[in-house]
Amino acid sequence: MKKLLRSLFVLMFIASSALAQNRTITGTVTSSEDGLPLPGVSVKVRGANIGASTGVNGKYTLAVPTSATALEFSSLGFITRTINIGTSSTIDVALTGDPKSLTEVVVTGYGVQTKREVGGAIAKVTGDQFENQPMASFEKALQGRAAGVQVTASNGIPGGAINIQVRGVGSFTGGSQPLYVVDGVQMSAVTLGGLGTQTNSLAGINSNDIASIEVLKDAASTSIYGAQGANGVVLITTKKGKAGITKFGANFYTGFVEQMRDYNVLNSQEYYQMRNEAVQNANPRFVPTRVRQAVLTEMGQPAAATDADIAAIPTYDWQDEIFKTGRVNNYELNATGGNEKTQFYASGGYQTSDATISKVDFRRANFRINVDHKATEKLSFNTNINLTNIRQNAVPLGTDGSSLGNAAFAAPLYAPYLRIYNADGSYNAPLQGILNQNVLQVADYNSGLAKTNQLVGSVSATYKILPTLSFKSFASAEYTNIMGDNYRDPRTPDGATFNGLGQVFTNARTAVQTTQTLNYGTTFGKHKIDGFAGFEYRVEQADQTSASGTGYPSFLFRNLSAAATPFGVGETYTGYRMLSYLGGAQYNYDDKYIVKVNFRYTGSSRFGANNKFGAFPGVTFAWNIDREDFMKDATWLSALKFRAGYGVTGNDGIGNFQALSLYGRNGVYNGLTGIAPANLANPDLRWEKSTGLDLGIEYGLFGNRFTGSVGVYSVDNSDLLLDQTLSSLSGFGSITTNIGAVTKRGVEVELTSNNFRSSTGGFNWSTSFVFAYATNEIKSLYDGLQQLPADVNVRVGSPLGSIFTFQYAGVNPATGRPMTYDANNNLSYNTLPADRRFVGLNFAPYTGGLNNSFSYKGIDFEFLLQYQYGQLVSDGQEVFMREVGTRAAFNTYREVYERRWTTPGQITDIPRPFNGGLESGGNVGRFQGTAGFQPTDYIRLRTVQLGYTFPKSLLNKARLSNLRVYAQGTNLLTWTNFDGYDPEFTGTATGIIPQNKNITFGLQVGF
Amino acid sequence: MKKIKDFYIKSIAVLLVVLSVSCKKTLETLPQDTIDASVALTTTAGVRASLANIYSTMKGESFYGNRFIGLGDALADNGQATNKSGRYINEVRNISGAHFNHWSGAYIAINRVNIVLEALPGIGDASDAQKTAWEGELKFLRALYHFDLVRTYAYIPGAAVASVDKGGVPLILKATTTAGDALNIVAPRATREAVYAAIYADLDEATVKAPALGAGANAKAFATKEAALALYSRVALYNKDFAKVVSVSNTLITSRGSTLLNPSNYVAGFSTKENPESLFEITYGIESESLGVNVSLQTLFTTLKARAASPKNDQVETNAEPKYPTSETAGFGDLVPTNDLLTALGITAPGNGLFTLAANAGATMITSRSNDIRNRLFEVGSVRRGNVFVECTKFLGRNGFVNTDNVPVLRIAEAYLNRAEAYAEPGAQQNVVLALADVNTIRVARGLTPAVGLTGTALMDEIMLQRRLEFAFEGHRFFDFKRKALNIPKPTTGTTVNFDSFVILPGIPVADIDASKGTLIQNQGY
Repeated sequence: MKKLLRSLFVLMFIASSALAQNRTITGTVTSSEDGLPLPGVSVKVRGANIGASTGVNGKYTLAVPTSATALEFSSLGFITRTINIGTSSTIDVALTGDPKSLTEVVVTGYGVQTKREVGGAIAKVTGDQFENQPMASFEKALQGRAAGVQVTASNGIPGGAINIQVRGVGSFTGGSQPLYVVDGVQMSAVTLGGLGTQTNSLAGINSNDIASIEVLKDAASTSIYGAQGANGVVLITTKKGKAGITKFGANFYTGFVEQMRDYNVLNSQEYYQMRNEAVQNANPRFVPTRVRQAVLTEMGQPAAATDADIAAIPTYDWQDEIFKTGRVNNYELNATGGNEKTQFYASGGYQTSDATISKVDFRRANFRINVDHKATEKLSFNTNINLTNIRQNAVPLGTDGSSLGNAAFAAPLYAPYLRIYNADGSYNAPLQGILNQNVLQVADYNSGLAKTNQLVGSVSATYKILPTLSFKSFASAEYTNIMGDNYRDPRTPDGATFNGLGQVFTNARTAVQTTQTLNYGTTFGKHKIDGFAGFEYRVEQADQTSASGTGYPSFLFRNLSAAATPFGVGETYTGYRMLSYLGGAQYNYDDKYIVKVNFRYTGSSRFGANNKFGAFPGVTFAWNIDREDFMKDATWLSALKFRAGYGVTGNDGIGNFQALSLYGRNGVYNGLTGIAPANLANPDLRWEKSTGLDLGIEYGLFGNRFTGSVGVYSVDNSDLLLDQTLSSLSGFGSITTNIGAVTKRGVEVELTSNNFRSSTGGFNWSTSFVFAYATNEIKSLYDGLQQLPADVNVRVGSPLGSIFTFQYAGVNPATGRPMTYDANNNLSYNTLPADRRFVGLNFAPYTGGLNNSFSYKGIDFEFLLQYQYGQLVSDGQEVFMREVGTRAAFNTYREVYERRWTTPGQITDIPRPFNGGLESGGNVGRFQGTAGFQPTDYIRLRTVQLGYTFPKSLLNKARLSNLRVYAQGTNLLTWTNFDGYDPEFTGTATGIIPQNKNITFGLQVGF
Repeated sequence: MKKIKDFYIKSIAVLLVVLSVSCKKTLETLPQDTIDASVALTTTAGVRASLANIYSTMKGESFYGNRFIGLGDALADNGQATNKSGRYINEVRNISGAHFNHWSGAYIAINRVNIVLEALPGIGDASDAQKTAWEGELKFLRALYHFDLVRTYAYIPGAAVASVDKGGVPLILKATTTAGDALNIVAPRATREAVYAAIYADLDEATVKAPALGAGANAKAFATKEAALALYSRVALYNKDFAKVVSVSNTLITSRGSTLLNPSNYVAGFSTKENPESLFEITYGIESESLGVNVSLQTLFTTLKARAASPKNDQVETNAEPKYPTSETAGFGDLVPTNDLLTALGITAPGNGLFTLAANAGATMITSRSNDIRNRLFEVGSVRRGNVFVECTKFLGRNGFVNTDNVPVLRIAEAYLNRAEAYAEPGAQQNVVLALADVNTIRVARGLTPAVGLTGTALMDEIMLQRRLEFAFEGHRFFDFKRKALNIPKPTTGTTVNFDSFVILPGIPVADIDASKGTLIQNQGY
């Protein structure tokens, strides 16, 4: 390591000798288009490393040696001009925009590239594309906008978990989430579980503060992040200050949140009929009157009720009562300004958002300040600070499933004849049956609150050692503290058991990071060389404590100190450290050929003693074909680039202490705490290795009227992290190992067409289309196994994410009993492991979006469709909704009810209602195998926005610089055959608060 | 030149920063919630905590906390499912897969026993006497874990279906502590004889080395000489080693026979945390140990929170006089007695399962009871979960917290009935007079008159009937059929599960079969 660094130093620091300077030239650089001054233009003496850049007013001052003959003026997006130095000491220049421009700047991690230089697969979404969308965290902005980046909300809790997958899955048990880097600060994207709510660690960032999001997708680009890069890297750049008069902006929007869809469930009469059939079918020896009486009494009706009485049983709409319309509000102020030396961007915002279920909500106050300061010509500083306070009300009923008392789960399942309120207005509770809690009562009486305070801040200093060489010292801290409490009211069934149960917890997370880099950059002739080298150190720790108590004097006492008996306490600690040496270099010949190499050497405390450090190299190549002489005549071609990348990255997504041999607390017996082996040592444990090849073509036609890109990739993942199941005869459940290999392949297409273009503010229409196909194949496991012992779905030759299960065969038309096909495709009532077959994928291989935006004069209209295709899921809620009379006091949905088997000879897929579910003699159930799965294919109108910007002439009178009003909708329409709440869910858990749709109205003012 | 010099000073400073961070130390992060395995088992505290863990496994749902007790009745003719939460329906219907599932948990616990056994010599702060006592305790636990595996996953000696008999279960007597050993473990199913021999060997040591049962609170929570004798009596009975049954039962009854309850204190004995008859109880000390409202035995067997006094215990509750406050709910009462068992217990309840609050509030559901004191632990459940059934109240939050009850694993009554059965079986130990005397000891202790003149089949039928009544809802019934190779009648449906059906044995976890590379043989039908 030492040697390598030393030689890098020597290479970079070949010093140039000082030259005598004896002449000063000044001038102004303007844009030839509008004559306005251009700040930040680089002014250089040709052939020498002497330069300056223009200020806010476009002016520059440069001392030049007498030997100097010409000055070069260059700026991103403009054609570079060279002006000979005459006798005049003033040189004013007008620069012309580069029409063949692909010069947009792309953030690449530890640096930037022009779009022409990029040789990797990087998706970019700019802030204006998702401005003012009512979302608690910014990840949703990527939905349908970046090819190969699949974003799914895990639930509808505002600020809750969001799942991002870049280019699909490729790991067994290693993490699948990308690395997030916000202005150089690596963020731990974790969902911190409150009691009854969730806090996404990225929800502290106001999406309106974001200037751009770049997603590094290919191995060569992400290799600079080493063992953290295999799942892609999401780079977030927040807005920077602009020199000039201080501009103020004010933003306000307000709107509604609503449930996306309800289940169409049975009324009380249909329910009676269903239960009647179920009880009769399960008890063939019962005479019909006995069945009738049993069902009537079960429903709380007199056994002698007449048909007319039955027809008069009321139906209560639980869903209507439980799902409510929530509010969304957002208030925001920002200011940007400064002078040549100091620029700032400051913003403050307050956002509130309800869920569709009481009392779940989200309230965020945040403040951001980004400051750049130039102390001297050589020394500059930058600091970014984001402060956030989030308050989330929660109801302690479970957020991620498994809780039968969850409101969203229970709402459609409550039997329709169950009263919601008693005649006196009190809650009808406890209820009959397994859903014995009245969730409205529980939500009303119980309470919970999670308070998050988060600071994400960084400071950096850059010192120009030489005009071509600078040293940057960067340090950052992320501090997140969550304090939460919840209370189970003694008036609720759960709380009554304990006479009140209160819980409190704190979760403090600290991440400190420092990066020291030397950066080199020079241009001579058509050659441009950049490079950097440095090291990075990162420490992340989390401490969690919790306590709970029971026995409260009354429900009016809700603080833990009022509890009579301690119930449980907890404290956990976890953390890891990472040390990396990194570097990169780029050679650019005339913007024609660009070669870039990356290198990172990373060590992590997570890995085994024998494998702490790993090397991650990457190389990309970009060839801008349109700049070749032989393409000169092709004026229709605005841009054509071929890019290729090859690199190695890693996945370190495992627990922090998986390599060690450990004993942990395990079990309590008779009040004595037990210990047991917690982990087997694996000193060879290492990161998962991911080697990727990436090829692509990017083009622009007819003055960039049509632009687009097509990319393909192939990634070989090996040494996959797996919690390898051990034979229980060994006394251990699993060990984290590196085994097996998976190859990922995919295609990504992005197309943009400017259907109508008007430079005079007339009609504009552009369409963007994004498409990705991603698949994978398991190449090998271990010990020559063709299938993972613990997981029938993991088989060599099949994609990871395959579903192997029994093929449901519908019901026997003669008897109404469900059947499956066995291994020989014979009908069967009893399943064996060998009968399972490939039935589909649990991920969507086809994803993408279609965006259309229109504008005419001040009016703008935009809508985004997002789609996915090819995924099968077993939805937990669905399985319960399809029971059709299996147990008492459970509703079902009408469509399935109407398909049930009732008469011999009927061909259908829904078995006859049967009290108790499984019929004797065999184990084929109602949801066996494929019967429990359904495709999630959908097209969703993700966002739609209509706005009007008032004309400048009008605004000038009101001394405003900008005024815009708009209406916007999210998730308004979904086209799908999926029966559940939302095809976007990734889990199979029951009782998730579903995503919602919302409509907001906003006002944006600039002055 | 000054510039160059300046530059070098700066770059050296940077280099120093880089290199001052030594790679190894900087990356060290140790857990705080867990400790290094090498120091965990070097002290008395470590052994005690490990033992607590090994016992605590038995509290789990797959063991005595739920399935060991519930399945014994559900898979046989004692239990019917009420479908109140949907649990135990498949078990009562003897559907493939609805069976014992403690395989993995048991083998993990056995390895932990072996780890502690091998660590004992290195415990610095313990006396030799203490180490011997621990050894006895650990051998008892290993014997119990192995026995609970072999009696479920394999056929019982002398009662096998030869054509599908795959032998015993793997016998694990050595500790696995390294990744290499764990990844490469090969342990095929040992013969039944070898497994029973190993259990005998462990019990021979436990009966000598384990501490004697003291009088202190919670003494029955741990393995003792007496617990080892009681287990030995059961193991020998299953092994059809009747002479051994007689000899170990004799020893045990001599020291503990007086604890047998009688009609005056029987119900009270089943109302306290610790049952006076018990020799070994899975013990729950604190509220947070409870398995909760979905899994505990109380929730499985009953919707009640407390026993009602006569005559309310025979009646359907009313809105005006609920059995417990209306704001509270107790369990689901998913598994309740069949009418067949109720009749055997001397309970007449023609409306069992048909009565509801709406139609029958206040009605008397149990119309008569015999003198058998054991039927006092069965009463009319609550209306809160739908139709009302007669429920078993042996588990009723006796430990002072709802859904928390000690589970009696070995009771002195079993020693009498084991010995009675051994005396009644052919062989050198056969003695029908003593057999009848033992079964009458139980009859009288439960409020019945002594039986007279029973021999042969009638005697054995009476012994088996008393076992059924004595251990109803304690998890024995299924094994009484299984060890005698009997077909199981299912009274609620009028069907029979034949002894040669594959559902008599549970399946071994497929993951272990797959991981064994062919060395572990799966039971028939899975």
